[in-house]
Amino acid sequence: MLVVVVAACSTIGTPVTPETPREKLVAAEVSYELVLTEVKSLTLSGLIMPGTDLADGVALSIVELRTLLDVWQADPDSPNYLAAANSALLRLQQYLIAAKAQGASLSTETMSMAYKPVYGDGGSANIGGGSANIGRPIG
Amino acid sequence: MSDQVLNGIIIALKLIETASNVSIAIAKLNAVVTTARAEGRDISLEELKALAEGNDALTDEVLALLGKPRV
Repeated sequence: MLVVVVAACSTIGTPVTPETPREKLVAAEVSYELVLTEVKSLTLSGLIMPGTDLADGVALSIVELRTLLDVWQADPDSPNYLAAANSALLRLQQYLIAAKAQGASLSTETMSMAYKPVYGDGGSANIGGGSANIGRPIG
Repeated sequence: MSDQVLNGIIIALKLIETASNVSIAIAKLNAVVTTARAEGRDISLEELKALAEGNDALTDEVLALLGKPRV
C-alpha cells in the first residue's frame, strides 16, 4: 500500500516557496481548501461520522481556522497570523490521520508513518515549504 | 474478502485520492503565486477575496455534512 502512495506522490509537483505575507495567506487558503476536501471525502465515505467526538472536533477546528483566515484576510500584509494558521492546520491534519487510522483499524502512529510521503516529516498540513509535500510550515 | 482487506483497500484508495488532491492544491498555489510574480506584483486583494469566497462556501458545505452547520 505504501508503495502505491509513494508512486502516486512522485507525480506531485513542487510548490513555490511563499515569501510575502500575501503569498503565505494564499498557501494557507489553498491548504485549508485541501483539508476541507479531505474532510468532505472522509465524511461522505463514512470515516468521519456526524455526532461523534471526531466530527465535533473537526468542525470546531474548521470554524477556528476559517475565523482566523478571515481575520488575516482583513489584514493580508501582516505576518502575525502565520504561526496560528500553521498550528490550526496541524490540528486538522491530526484529525484526518485519526479518521483514516480508525477506518483502517490502524493505530494513529502507524497511519502517521504511512502519511509521511504525503505530509512530509510530521509538520503541519499546509503547502509552501518548497518541497514536494505539504509537510513543512508555510513560513 | 475479509473486512481487514477491504479496509486496507479503502484506505489505500483514500491515500491515493489525498495525493491527487495535494497535487491539485500545489498547482493552484503555483498558478496564483507565479502569475503575480511574473507580473512583478504581490497577490491582489481580489485574488485573496476569490480564494476566501470559494473556501467559505466549501466550509458551509463541509460543516453541514459534519452535522454542525454554521450559525
